[in-house]
Amino acid sequence: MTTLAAASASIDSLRSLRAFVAIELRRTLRNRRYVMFAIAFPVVFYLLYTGILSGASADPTALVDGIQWRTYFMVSMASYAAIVAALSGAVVIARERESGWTRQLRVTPLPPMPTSPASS
Amino acid sequence: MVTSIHSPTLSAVEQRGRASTATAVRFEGVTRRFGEIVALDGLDLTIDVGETVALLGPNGAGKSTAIGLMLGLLTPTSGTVMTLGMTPREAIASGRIGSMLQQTGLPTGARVGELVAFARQLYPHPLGQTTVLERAGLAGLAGRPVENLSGGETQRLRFAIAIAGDPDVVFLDEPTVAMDVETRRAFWADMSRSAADGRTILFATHYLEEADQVADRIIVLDHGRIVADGTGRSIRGRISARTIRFDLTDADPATLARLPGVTEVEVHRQAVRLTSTDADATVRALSRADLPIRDLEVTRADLEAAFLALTSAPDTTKESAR
Repeated sequence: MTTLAAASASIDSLRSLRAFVAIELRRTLRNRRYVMFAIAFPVVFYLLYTGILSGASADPTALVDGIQWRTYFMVSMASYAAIVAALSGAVVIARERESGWTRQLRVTPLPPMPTSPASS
Repeated sequence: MVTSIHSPTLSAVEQRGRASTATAVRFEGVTRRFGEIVALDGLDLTIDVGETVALLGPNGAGKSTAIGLMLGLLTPTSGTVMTLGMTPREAIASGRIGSMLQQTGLPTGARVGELVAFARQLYPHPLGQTTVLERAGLAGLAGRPVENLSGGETQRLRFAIAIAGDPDVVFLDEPTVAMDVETRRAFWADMSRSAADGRTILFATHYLEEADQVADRIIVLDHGRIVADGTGRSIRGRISARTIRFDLTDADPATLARLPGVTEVEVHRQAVRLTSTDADATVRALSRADLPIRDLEVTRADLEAAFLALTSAPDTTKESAR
C-alpha cells in the first residue's frame, strides 16, 4: 500500500515535471530573440566559416592546434550558444521571480526545485 | 511526503467525505514578524472543512501574511500552522489545495489554453480542460497569448489555474481586484457552487460587501490580531454603530459613557457625540435621565466608517506589514 502510494506519487511528479519542461520549451522557442541569438547565429556562423567562406582563406580540414578547423569552430560556436542560453535564462528566471510566477508555482504540487533546467 | 490519499480504491466523493472530519486550517499562537514589524500577533484560528471564510481587514492587517503561512510560502516566527492536518508544504504536495495569490505575473510566451493544461497536469485529479476554461470564463480565449490579456482576463486565468486541480481547499488573496462587475458576479456565483459541493474557500478582501455576500464566516483582522469573528450578520451587528449628537451644557463624559450601548464619548464644549451600538436604548436612557439636551440627532454611521471604527485600534500609528 505504502509502496504503491509512493510509486504513484513519483509518477505524478514525473508527469508534472514533464509538463513543466514541455511548456518551458515551447515558451523558449517562441522567444524570437532567444532563437535568433542562441540557435540561428551559431549555426549560420558555423556554415559560413566552415563551408561557404572556407575555400579562399582556409581549408576546413586544416589543423588548428592539432584539431580540424571545422571541429574546432563547431565547439567554439556551441560554447557561444551555451553562454547566450545561460545568460538569457538567467534574465527569464529573474523576471519570473519578480512577477511572482515562481511563487505561484510553489503553491502547486510541482516538485520544488532550484530552477528548471528547461528555463535555460 | 505524499501519503496514500490518492488510493485508487477511493472515489473522489469518498475522499471528500473522509476529509470532512478534519480541519482545513489551524493556527495555534501564530506570530510572524518581518524585522521590527509584527504582521501577525499570536493568532489562534480554526477553519473547518466546508466553510466559506472571508478574511477582512484594511491594507496591512495581516491577510496576505496569514494566507502565505497557510500555503507554506512563509514560516511562522513562532506557533504552528496546519493545513488539512498536515504541514502546509505537505498539503500543497498532496494536490488538494488551489490558490490564487495577489498579483502574480504569468509567464510570457505561453497561451491561455497551454497554461491551463499545464496547471491541470500538476494535479492528481484535475478537472477537464473545457470545464476549467468555461468556469473561468475563458472559453473563447484558449489560443490567446497571455501577454495580450486584459487585467480582468489575467485575473480569470489565475482563477482557472487555482481550480484546475479540482482542489478541496481554495485560497484566494483579493481575487476580484481588477475584475469588472459582471466578471465579479460570475466569479462569486462559481465559488458559491464550489462551496455547495463541500469545498472550503478562504478569501482575503477589503470589501465588506463582498465578504458579507459570499462568506458564511467573516474574520476581521487588524494589526495582526483578530478583532471580530462570526457570521456577516453578527459582524454587521457589531459595527452597525449609530452616531448620536446633541448639545448639552456641562456634559459629564463619565455619566454619558455609562449609558447603555455607548462605546465612545466625545465632548467639545457643549457639543456631544456618542457612538452607540444600540441607539434605541441609549436614546431611551437619555430621555429617562432627563438631561437638558437640545438638537438631538441620530445618524447611522456609514458602513465603511463603522468598519474603520472596528479595525482601528487605539495605536493605529504603528505601521504593519502586508
